[in-house]
Amino acid sequence: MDALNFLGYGFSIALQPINLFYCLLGVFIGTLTGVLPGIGPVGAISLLLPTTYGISPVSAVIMLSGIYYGAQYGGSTTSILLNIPGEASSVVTTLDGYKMAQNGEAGPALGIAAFGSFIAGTISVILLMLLAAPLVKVALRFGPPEYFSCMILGLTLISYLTQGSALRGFISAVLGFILCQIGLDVVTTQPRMTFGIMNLEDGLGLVPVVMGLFGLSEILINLDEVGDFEIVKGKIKNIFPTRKDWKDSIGAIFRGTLSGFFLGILPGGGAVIASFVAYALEKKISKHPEKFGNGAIEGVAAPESANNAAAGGAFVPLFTLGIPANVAMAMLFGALMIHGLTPGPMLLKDHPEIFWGTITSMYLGNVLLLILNLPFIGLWVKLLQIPYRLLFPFILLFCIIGSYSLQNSMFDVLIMVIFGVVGYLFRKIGFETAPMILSFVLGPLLENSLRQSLVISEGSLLIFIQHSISGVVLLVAFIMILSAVIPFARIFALIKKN
Amino acid sequence: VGQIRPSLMKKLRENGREGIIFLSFLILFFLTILGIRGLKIGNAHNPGAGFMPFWSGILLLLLAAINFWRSFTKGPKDSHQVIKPSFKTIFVLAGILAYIVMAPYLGFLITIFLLLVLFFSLMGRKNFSFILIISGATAIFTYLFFVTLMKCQFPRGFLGIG
Repeated sequence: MDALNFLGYGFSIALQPINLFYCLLGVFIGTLTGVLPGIGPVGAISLLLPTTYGISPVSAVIMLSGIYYGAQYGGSTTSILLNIPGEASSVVTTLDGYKMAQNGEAGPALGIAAFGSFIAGTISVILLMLLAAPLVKVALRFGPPEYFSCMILGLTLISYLTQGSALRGFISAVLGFILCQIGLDVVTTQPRMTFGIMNLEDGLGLVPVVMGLFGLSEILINLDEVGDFEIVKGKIKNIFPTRKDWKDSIGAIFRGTLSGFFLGILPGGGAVIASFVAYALEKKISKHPEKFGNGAIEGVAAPESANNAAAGGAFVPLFTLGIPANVAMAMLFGALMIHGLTPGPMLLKDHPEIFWGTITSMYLGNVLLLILNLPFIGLWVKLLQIPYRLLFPFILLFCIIGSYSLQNSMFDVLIMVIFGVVGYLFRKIGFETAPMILSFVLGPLLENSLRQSLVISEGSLLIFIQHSISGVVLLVAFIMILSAVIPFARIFALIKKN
Repeated sequence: VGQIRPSLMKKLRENGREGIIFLSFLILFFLTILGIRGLKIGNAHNPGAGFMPFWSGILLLLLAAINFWRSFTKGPKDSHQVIKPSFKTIFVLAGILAYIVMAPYLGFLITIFLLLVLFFSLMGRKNFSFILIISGATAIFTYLFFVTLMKCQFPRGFLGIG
C-alpha cells in the first residue's frame, strides 16, 4: 500500500508540466549524446550541470537522470548503422547489429534494440522501486564505520573491474582521493596543497575536472585519430519486430534485464560489463551459437536490454547508500550536493519528492524514449550524417562555457584544460579515469567518515573490524586489493612448477 | 655481470615509459608532501590536517612503485599507445589557453568568435566565409543564450560587452 501511495505521489510530481518538460529534454539530450560519437552521458551531464542551478532539484535530477538512461538507448543506433558504438555499453551491439544492417535488416535491429531497451528500462525501474525502500531501512542503521567500509569496497570494485590493470585502477583512485583534499581542511580550516593559490582554497570543482577528463580529453584523442564514418546505405524499413523476431528475442530481453539490473547495482559493474555478460550468456545458452557475430537478433536484444537495466540498477546504491556506482552517478551525486541535498538513506526520508519523482519520471522517460527512438529514427540517422569535424568546435565551446559558468572563473577553464591533458595522457598510457573521478567525489565523505569513526573509537582502527558489516565488507575489499597487488596466480604456478 | 648488464639495459629501454610514469607519480608525491608542509600530520588518535594527504601520498607512491616493478617482471604494457599529439591537438590546447589569457581584455564575444574561427579552420573547412559566418552566428547565439537566458556573466573586455 505504501509503495502504491508513494508511486501515486511520485507521478503527481513527475507529471507536472515543468518536470515532464525536463524529462523530455533529458531523454532527448541523452539520445543525442548516445547517437553522436565523441560525447557521452558523463560529458553531457557535466555540461548541463551548471544550467540546473536555476531550476528545482527535482527537475534537475529528472533531467540529468534522463540524459543517463537516454544515452543507453541512443548508443545502439551508431553501433547498428555505423559499426561505431555511441556509448561504451553498446560496443557488443556492433557485433550482430552492424551485421544485421549490412544484411538489410537495420530496421528490425533498431526496433528490437528500442523495444528491448523499453522493456528492460521499465522492469529495472520496478525493481529499483521495490529494492530501494527496504535497502534504505537497512542503510539507516549504518554508522560512520559501515559507510567508510562501503565506500572503500565501492572504490575497490570500481578499480578492480576497470579495463586493463586493476593496480592502475587503484593508482587512479588514490590520485582522485589526493585531488579531492586540495583546499581548506573541513576540521581545522587550514589550507592543504593550495600552494598559496587563492582559487584552490575552495578545492577543485567537480565540473571542470569531469569536463577535462571526459569532454576535452575525448576530443583531443579524436583529433589524433578522427575520420568520417561510413553509414550503412539503404532505407530503414520494418522497424517493428515480427512475431519471429519477438520469439527469438523475448527470452534474451528478460535474461539481459535481470543480469543487467543486478550488475548495474555493483559499483564499477555498470552498463558495459552488463552488456558483455548478457551477450556471452545468450551465446552460451543458444542452440545456434554460430549465428552470433553473423547477425543474430538475440545478439542485439540481450546487450541492449542489459545496458538499460544496468542504468536503472545504478540508481540503487546512489539512492540507498549515497554511493555512486559509476561516473554518471557521481555526477548526479554532485548535482544533488550542489542543490544542498545529501544522497543516501536520508534523502528518501527528508526529500521523498526527489526519490519518487525521479523514479516515476523514469517510467515516463522510457515511454518518451520509445517514441523518440522509433518514429523519429530517421531524424537520428540524419544527425549521424553531420560530419564529425563540425561537431568538435561545438563540444569544445560547451566545455569552455560549462566550466566557466560554474563560478564565473577563468581559473576553472584552466583546470579543465589541465585535466583534459591529464585524461589524454592517462588514456594513452592505459590508466582509467573513472576510479579517479569516483574517489574525487567520494573522497570528502570517506575522510569524514574515517575521522568520525576514529573519534568514536578514540583512535582505534579496530572499530572497522568490530562492527560486523564493516568487517566483512573491508575483508572483501582487502582480498581484492591483495589479489591486484600480489600476482597470486604466478606464485601458485611457480610453486606448482617447483 | 657482463650478461646481466645488456639485459638490464634492454629492460630499461623497453620500460622507459614506465620509468617516466613512476617518476611522474614520485613528483606528485613530493608535491603532496610540499603542499602539507607545516601542517600537523598527527596519528589515528588525533589526526591533523595533513594526516589524510600524507598517508594517501605514501599509498600512491607505494602503488606506483609496485606498478613500476611489475613492468620489469611482466614486460611493457600492451595497452600503451604512442603519445604523439597531432598539430590539431596542440593548436586546440593553445587556442583555449590563449582564450583564458585574452578573454578578460577582449571580452567573451570577440575571443569566443576568434576561438571558433580557429577551431573550424583546424577541422579542415576550406571556405573561409563559411567559417566566419558560422563562428559569428555561434558566438552571438551562445552569448544571447547564456547571458540573457542563463544569466551567466562573461568577461566584458574593453568593449564592455560580456
